[in-house]
Amino acid sequence: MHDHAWLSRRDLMRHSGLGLVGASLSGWFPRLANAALAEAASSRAPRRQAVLLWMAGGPTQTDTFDMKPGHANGGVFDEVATSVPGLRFSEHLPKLAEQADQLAVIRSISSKEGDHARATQLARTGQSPGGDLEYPSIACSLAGELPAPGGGLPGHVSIATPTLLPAAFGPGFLGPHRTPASVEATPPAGDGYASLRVENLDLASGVSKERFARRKRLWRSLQGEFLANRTDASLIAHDGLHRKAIELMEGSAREAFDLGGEPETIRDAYGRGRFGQGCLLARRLLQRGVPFVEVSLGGDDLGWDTHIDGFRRVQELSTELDNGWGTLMQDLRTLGLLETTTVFCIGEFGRTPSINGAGGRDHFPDAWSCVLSGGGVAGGQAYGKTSDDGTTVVDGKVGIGDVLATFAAALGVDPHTENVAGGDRPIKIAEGEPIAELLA
Amino acid sequence: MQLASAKLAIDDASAPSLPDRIDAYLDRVAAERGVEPAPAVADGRFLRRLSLDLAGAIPRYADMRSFVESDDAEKRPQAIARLLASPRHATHLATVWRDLLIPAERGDFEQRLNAVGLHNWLRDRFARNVRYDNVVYDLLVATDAGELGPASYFSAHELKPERLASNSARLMLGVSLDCAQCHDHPFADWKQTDFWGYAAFFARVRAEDDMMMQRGAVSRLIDADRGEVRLPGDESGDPIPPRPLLGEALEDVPFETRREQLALWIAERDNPFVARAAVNAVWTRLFGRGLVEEINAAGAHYPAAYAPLLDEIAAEFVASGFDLRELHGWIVSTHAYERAAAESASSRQAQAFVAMAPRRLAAEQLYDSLARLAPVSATDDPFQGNPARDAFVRRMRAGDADQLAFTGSTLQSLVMLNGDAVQNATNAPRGGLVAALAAPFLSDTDRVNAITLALLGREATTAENAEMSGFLQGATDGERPQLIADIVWAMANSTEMAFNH
Repeated sequence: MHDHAWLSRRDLMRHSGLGLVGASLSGWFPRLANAALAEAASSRAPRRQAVLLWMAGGPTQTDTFDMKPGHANGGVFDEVATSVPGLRFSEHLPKLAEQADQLAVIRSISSKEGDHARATQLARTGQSPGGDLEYPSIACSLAGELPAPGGGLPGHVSIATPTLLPAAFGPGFLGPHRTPASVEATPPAGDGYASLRVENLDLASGVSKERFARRKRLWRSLQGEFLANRTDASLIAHDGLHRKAIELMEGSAREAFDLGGEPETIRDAYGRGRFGQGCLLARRLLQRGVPFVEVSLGGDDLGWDTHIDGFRRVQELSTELDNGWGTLMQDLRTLGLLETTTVFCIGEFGRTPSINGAGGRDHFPDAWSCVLSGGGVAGGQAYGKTSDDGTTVVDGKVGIGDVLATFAAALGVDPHTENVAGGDRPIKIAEGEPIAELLA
Repeated sequence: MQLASAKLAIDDASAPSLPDRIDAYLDRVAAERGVEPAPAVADGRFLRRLSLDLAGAIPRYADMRSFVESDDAEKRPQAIARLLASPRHATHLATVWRDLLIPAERGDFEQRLNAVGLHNWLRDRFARNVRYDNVVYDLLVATDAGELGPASYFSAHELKPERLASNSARLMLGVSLDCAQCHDHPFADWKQTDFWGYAAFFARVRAEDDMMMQRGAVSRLIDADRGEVRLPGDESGDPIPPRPLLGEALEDVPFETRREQLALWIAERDNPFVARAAVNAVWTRLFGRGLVEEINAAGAHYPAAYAPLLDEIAAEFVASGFDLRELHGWIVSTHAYERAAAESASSRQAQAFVAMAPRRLAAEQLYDSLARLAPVSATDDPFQGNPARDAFVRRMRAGDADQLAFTGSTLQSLVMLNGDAVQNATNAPRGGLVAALAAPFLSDTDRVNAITLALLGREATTAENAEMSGFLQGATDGERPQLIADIVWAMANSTEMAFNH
């Protein structure tokens, strides 16, 4: 056991109240203590942040980042040059092509799951379903390793998250206090913008600001009297979380979630849909110190699942992806945040290089791509290689575990960091090995 | 309704009742440790505590009020008897045991919510006060698709022998064999072969169809005539035969399934584990921590301080015919259960069971308590599904079965601050407590005391009364309901409300 007798329990809870969105005791208590100590020790280390862009449905690598021009499998899009000689993308990703020096494409993922549910579980947790533990998503694992924001902001925000497979998006054995703050996204009506909203962050109907202030005053005095002579850590944790929640409702944090103040030109540059506005919100949250933000493209309707009439839909999705991600990267660079922010884009699998009779492509886990960019990533390269027809990996084959480990390492987190699951089982954040060539 | 303690006293008028013997034991250990027992709590606090523990919700205000106003010397025993016989007790107990059977520590929360059949099955048995050993027997051997309950227990653990073994050993036997799954147990004597010999009892349970492959789906269970377990990493080695803990390996016989063999061993009257494990589980629920952590067949339970007391209660439990209702009755009839809350769950008083550790409310307890403040609605029927309650429970769930551990998040706080459950309890025009207290003939002090009694089971302190009466003072009849709702809101969100003290 680590010796932290010099921190009283109350101090510890206070400290963690500043540092972590969730407070917990019992099984997580020693870990919390360690986190508090580590935070104190590394206060001079640069802040690291991450964005996970989740491509629901399984994006087609052959029409985006691993094209096969001239081959029968090649499809209808043109492959075009990027800012990096020799690295070429689809014509429908112009903003990303301009910033290819920041991008590292992995073209050699080979995984085993070809069913949406099973593959989503695998890609997001590093574990196929059916294990004897509920594994946390990589996002929940990594968010807990990064320094927490102040001002009542959550340490992990998940935007437009699919609701289909909660286990693949949740904290699993890490516990419910590690659940990301969920931002629901409603598609734009007509020519408007998608609207984004945090559940229960707004005052209940019939409760004005003045009335809430009244309620809060009463609540504070009740709390003050009750807690005056109590030292129970659970009681103090409950009080602290309520205070943080109120801070989140009222403080500058609240304003982070309001996109209304952004100029229309900016909002339009990101794209008016859920993904674009989600990326804009991600930027606002990163600016305010939120360490981990997820944005989904495709959502519950598995948008990238383009079995039929694929090219038209992939073109639309590519444009959405390019505007959201590309603009986010530009903004992060302008703000000086790109060097410390790792952006990772992946779906559950790739799609068949061959084109089916309905003009689409089907599920394909044998040889597919994902992209890492920004902080900690050696951009401007493609790692691994598929065959000329795209059906097999011919060089640099990696599994999901390696990809997730690389993401962790780029973020400055040791992928072999262990969390303890029920029954005292140490579980690594990612079991694979980081790809050294991709780390800056 | 006869009280358990009274009944025992009739059996042998000269011997002290079991609750008295429990108190004598606890007081003696406390004295040895130099720990001063806390005083007994006043009536309101007692009824809140009791009602949360036995019925899963705070009392209705009317019941609370008549309880504190009654001068019947027997009102506490009467309240205990009434609550133990109430349908809500069976429902609450079913929730508690469902949670123990399908723990959330591994993250299997959806499994638990899906186990509606298991909840109903348990509730039916608890309502009829079926012998505990029979409940366990039926759970372990069930095959009938009509009994969806037990099947959802097996499917929640994916029919895996090692998962069923570790859960059932922990819960029904009070031993943590899990560690011996991979290696010999560090401090108990369990060997890896003990774990796998026990797991072998579950090696042949199957689902009749593939529905079972989907987690949480339920179908008829069957017992195959083949299926073995082997030591991990020894897939080509000899199968491990089924073997009860501390017993001899059993032969497979044509007329008994392996699950039946296990259930028969568990239901033996002199099984050294089952009654003790049940007593320890119920005690843990009511005090926040168990009398012991690990049960030992010879009585050398770990830790040792309360091992003899556990055995004494367990012997009575066996003699009562494994009567769970009586067991609860004994424990809540002790002076120990009546004692005031400790300033901390880790205090020496709380550890010696002579002050009550503050225990966080489960999401179900919190929702059902808030519902008691709201007007009675159609969804109050426990036999009707209640999507709003399910949604609340899903959002407010704890990650840990330990009632002394608080594992909340700011997002859960937001559910309380702005979500529907509290709003429904405070929405003035809809009736319930707020509407009742808006009546013009009450004084503001009456109103404040009534709210505090209803939610927290106590009178308002002088300072609270001054502040909140002042808050209500001078309000018109039109304004008053909103202001009362504000006070109820503040109290519903208080830390005191979120715990059982």
